[in-house]
Amino acid sequence: MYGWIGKIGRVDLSRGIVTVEDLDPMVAREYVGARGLGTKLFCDEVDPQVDPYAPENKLIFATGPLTGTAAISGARYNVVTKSPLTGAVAASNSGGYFGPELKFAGFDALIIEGKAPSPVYLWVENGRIEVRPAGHLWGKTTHETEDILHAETDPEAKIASIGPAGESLVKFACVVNDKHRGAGRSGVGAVMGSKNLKAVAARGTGGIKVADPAGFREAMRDAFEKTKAHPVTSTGLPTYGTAVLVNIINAHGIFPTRNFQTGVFPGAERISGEAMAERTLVRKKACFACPIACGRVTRVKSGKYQGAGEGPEYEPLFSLGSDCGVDDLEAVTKANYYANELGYDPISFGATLACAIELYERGYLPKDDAGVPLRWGDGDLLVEMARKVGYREGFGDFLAEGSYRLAEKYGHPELSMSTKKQEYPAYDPRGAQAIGLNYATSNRGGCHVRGYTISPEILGVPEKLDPLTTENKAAWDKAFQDVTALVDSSGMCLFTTFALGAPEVAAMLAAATGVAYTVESGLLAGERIWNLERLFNLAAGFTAADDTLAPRLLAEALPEGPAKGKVVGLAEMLPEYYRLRGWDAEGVPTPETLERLGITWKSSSSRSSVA
Amino acid sequence: MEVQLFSLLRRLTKTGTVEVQAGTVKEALAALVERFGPALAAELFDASGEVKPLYNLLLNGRNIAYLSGLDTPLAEGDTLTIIPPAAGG
Amino acid sequence: MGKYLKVNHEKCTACRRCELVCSLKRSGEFNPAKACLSVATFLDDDFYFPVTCQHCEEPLCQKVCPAGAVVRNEVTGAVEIDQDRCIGCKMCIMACPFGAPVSVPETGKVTKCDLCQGEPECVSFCQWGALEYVEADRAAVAKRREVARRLMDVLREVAG
Repeated sequence: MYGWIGKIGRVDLSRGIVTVEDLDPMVAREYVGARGLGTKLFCDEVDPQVDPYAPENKLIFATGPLTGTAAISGARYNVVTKSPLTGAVAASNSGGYFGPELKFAGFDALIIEGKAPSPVYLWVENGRIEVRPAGHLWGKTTHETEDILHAETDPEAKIASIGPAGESLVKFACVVNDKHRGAGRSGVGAVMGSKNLKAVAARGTGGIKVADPAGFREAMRDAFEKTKAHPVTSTGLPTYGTAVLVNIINAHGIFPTRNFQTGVFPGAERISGEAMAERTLVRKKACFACPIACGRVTRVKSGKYQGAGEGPEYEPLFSLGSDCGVDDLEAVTKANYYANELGYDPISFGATLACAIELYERGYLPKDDAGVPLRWGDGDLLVEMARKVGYREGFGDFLAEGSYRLAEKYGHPELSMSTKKQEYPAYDPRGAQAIGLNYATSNRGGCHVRGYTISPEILGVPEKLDPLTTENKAAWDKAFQDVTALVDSSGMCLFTTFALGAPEVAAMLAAATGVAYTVESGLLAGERIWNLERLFNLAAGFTAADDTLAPRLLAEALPEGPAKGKVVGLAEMLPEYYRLRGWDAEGVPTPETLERLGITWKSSSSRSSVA
Repeated sequence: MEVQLFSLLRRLTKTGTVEVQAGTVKEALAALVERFGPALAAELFDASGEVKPLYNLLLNGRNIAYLSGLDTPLAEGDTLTIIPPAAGG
Repeated sequence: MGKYLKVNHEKCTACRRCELVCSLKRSGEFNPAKACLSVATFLDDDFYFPVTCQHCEEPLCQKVCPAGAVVRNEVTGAVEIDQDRCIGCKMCIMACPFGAPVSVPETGKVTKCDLCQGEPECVSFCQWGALEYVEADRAAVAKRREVARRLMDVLREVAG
């Protein structure tokens, strides 16, 4: 095969058995790779009713055909599983260098099943997979784990691991690779921990064959020039990283502050990308094959928050910063370092802490449970909890359940700013209506990257779109969601789409794989992947009632800023969205839609709720 | 009224906020160019003299594309935000 | 001609596109193990360094080669390994202080950077100018100018 390697490694952790299977070319063609391929493999093998921590849940590491190639930002791999946070099928995306190395080691994907009797790690090297004891790694941070495994396997190995958070089943624990990159959302790291799998180390000297090398070089040159010419990918992101958004989003009055109580944060400038460039930035860094280099190598040189690592990105600048009322850049940076080292999602953590602070402020969460006063703007509290949550220590044990279960415990689930129990990212949709629809309909719960309509509504890319109206937003959401599913499945990074679109992605896919992908077939694949995720979730028990938003966003108007007085007009957008998707009024894909997309999937559950 | 300047613009202006007297957005931009020189003009405007399409200008947080564009009137106490092309996640 | 491959490591972002486009050009596949250069990445030290063939004036690979396979391309100035003459003894790999020669598993022989016949692919696809193909007689002055520019703002500020 070209582009794809053509091999899947299956590891039965319960019995310690490894088998190597062929990748079905038809499945590869229809579901492309990474998110799509991982999701297809997952849905075909796992009962939607499965308990996420049961051995019957599977954990899939999947790369795309462009992963490991010179396609623009061809670095990506996905971790696919059933999420313990949401109960939905979750594909969590990461960059760095691990995904490409998995392909050089001879695998498109790894399917991990069962549960090891004691902690193990996988050593994947040039076509072989070895299950090795990891008792000496259990309890170590992700950074310590990588250092030890580099000495034990190969200094050039690329490593994906969990930290104490994944081991202790923190509901939003993540998989960290190359120390500073992560498959962050939906608690995929907790599933890995539930299987007693500490890490996957990969090293390969194999290659990725290209169907049309000259054609690929041409398509890649074209995409490269476009990436270099676009100010976002050539100057904006490399200079300030995603943190450049702090001042921008705050100026639009949609920078979520104090658990989404408002969208204007007075301390925004102090935690902005501009502030980072002056105070903590060491240099920029790129993922594999990426000319954008949005990565931020940073350092807090001295003081109580001293440390080194990467980030924070825009998202944790909200979740650890404005959402908790904290405007201390060093405190936010230190908390973010903890998230990477202990291995959990800083978005969900910060949002959960913010929810806890509001519950405490309103008198619903007693001081005895909290142990300490929970206050807005408390940098010391932020950093202390950032460490404790990773070990489920003290109040960290409460926070480790995520905001929904925490708020529900104290009788006020409406104070969890989440959909399908996954916490919202850094945009208040009351001032950007299309992202509100995306939060409500994203297949993995509250998420922005599934359909980043902030791009047109706020940044004006590819064109300016009024953020305050609901008109036509359903069409924009569907379009963004479909092309995003394609990009997520190709192995390229989503950030390329500021400069590139489906035509460039399809051209590189076609030249690499030899499959005649076009814009149409590529977007159809994206739509197919979206619908398969939807079917699985419906069979898992989700309904149209779950395509909603936290009550605050639907019923409490923003109190200040340019979007003052606004709520999310979800009811105006959702029915049209279902219609455009080819779903019935209950949000179920119709038989005609499934036939058009070529989906024959039926739930393997004995209790299927799909008609 | 106050003009906020973000990210790449600050490399030119060396500051994030500037006080300006102007009746419309167009006048405010002219005042900025007068203060910071042709380098700012080259950054803000394209060859035909229009503000570059990837730039976003906000009046009190609202994009002027949805108001009256460059003719949008300014009042005392208003904030004009000039945002160079950027992005994130 | 007098051009050489100049490495500005401080501009490197560790993206390794250079390795990929090199292996694509030479072997039609993406494989860093087949590339004629590598970006050595020291994550914890924030140090990234593309290690390339230096196309030495007195190449040690040429000196040790028993088959006379290492030749200088008079047009590009590159030191090249003639694949017809190479016997695959791998003495050049042993002798080179930079790790430049790379063995070709399919043939058992050794190959190395040949500066892509004068249009180095790696330079062409380096976004940040960490790899440049520059005239040797201008390199020193250009670097000194760069250094002076960096000092200019600081010195002016201090001078008041």
